[in-house]
Amino acid sequence: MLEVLKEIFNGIVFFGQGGNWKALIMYVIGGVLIYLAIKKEYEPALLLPIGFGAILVNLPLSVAGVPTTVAGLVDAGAAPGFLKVLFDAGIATELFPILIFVAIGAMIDFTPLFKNPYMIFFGAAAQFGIFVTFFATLMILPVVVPGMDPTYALKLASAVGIIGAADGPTTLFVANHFNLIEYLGPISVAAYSYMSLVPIIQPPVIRLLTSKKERLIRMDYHEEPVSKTIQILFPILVTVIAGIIVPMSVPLVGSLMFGNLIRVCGVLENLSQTAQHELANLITLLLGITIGATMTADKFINPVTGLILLLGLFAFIFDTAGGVIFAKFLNLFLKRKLNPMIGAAGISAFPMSARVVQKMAKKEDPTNFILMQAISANVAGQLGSIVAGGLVIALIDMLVKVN
Amino acid sequence: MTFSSLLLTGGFSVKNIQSMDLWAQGLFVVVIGLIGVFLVLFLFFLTIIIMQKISESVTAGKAKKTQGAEVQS
Repeated sequence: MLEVLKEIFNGIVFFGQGGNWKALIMYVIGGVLIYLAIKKEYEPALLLPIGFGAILVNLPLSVAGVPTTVAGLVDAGAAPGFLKVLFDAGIATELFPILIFVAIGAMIDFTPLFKNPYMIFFGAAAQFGIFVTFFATLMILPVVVPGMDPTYALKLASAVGIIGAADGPTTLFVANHFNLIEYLGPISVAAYSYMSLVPIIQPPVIRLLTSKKERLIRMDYHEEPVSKTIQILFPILVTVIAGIIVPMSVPLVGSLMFGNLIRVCGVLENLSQTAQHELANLITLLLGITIGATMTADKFINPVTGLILLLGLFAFIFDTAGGVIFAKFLNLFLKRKLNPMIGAAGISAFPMSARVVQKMAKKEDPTNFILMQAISANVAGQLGSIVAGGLVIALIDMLVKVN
Repeated sequence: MTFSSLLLTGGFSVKNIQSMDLWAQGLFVVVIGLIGVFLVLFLFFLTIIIMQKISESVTAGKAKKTQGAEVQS
């Protein structure tokens, strides 16, 4: 009789097994993410599905993901759950991040950048945090995880560094490229939650690095029309240049620019609208819940997760600092000074970062308007982050390549 | 091979770089990565500038043509 009851109520038996208490912690983590999404509205479109996915996949026997036995071992005979199917179809193939990029491309307006082309360099300077964090992670990992394979350390460090791209799909793309499935959960959670925390993370860093006088600097903005030809040629030429110089960035740059071409061509309005709304919403929904499903207790609850979350924050801080310091450096040579705060908008979190900068400028002087310059730096950050992603992949692939 | 000896000898082969210490490999990625990002974005910058120059000259050419036609008429 007891045996029959055990078989029927095997979910209860599951918690009687040693180590499965970790699943309870994951329910709490999932709950916190859902709370942050609903109550604090931190990236709700992503944190809510991620939180729910984390709960789903840690339920007894993990029927929605990779089914396990009561003892917690993978049940080889059971069919994979829908989350595992989604993972194999959308994440393992890198399809979801790529489709998200098509949607983002359709949403981006590059015209502010055409009016202030020099702002593109802020998109490069604000990737500083990626590389600093990569190096820091590489130095810390062997201490936290003694005996970690150097090749694996290089791959993991690059994925942790890319959190600083402030660009969820790029982070996912890089982590997935290096097959870091067991850390996909914490890496994605760090990337998306810090993106939503940009209004909290950036202002103290900006204030620390700038004086009030610098924050009051006004910048000219000339409203000039941008020809349709330039708008159409830009995504095509950028794709070709990136494809020749950094071939590994082509999936990211190509999909972003394809989306943008649909937007600017003027003859595919329906497709552009679909990419901006239906495609973006659908993929975001599937992406979130699938990422959440990678957060199984055995993989998520370990010291490396804490390290990833900490270093992800480090990356955001150094990205912001990189952009601001670069602007201050340029001011040493420029006659018409730049407001160094716009450097902080060089990260990829669009348009949040530009809004943060404008809000800070307005706080110092209600009549100061630097939003358009900040937007220019922000769209440049989109380009910078995917180029950095492609470069990191190319460099790490070269270092770990077996001759 | 150390990072400094690599720089001094200029022995930038994949094998030499792979044989460096982990920290030196990391430093290599940092330096080349940052230079690479600036370089690629510089090329994007040039693309925008060249496109703008071409567009300006085409517009100026058209305006000149129109002006000429108006004067003739």
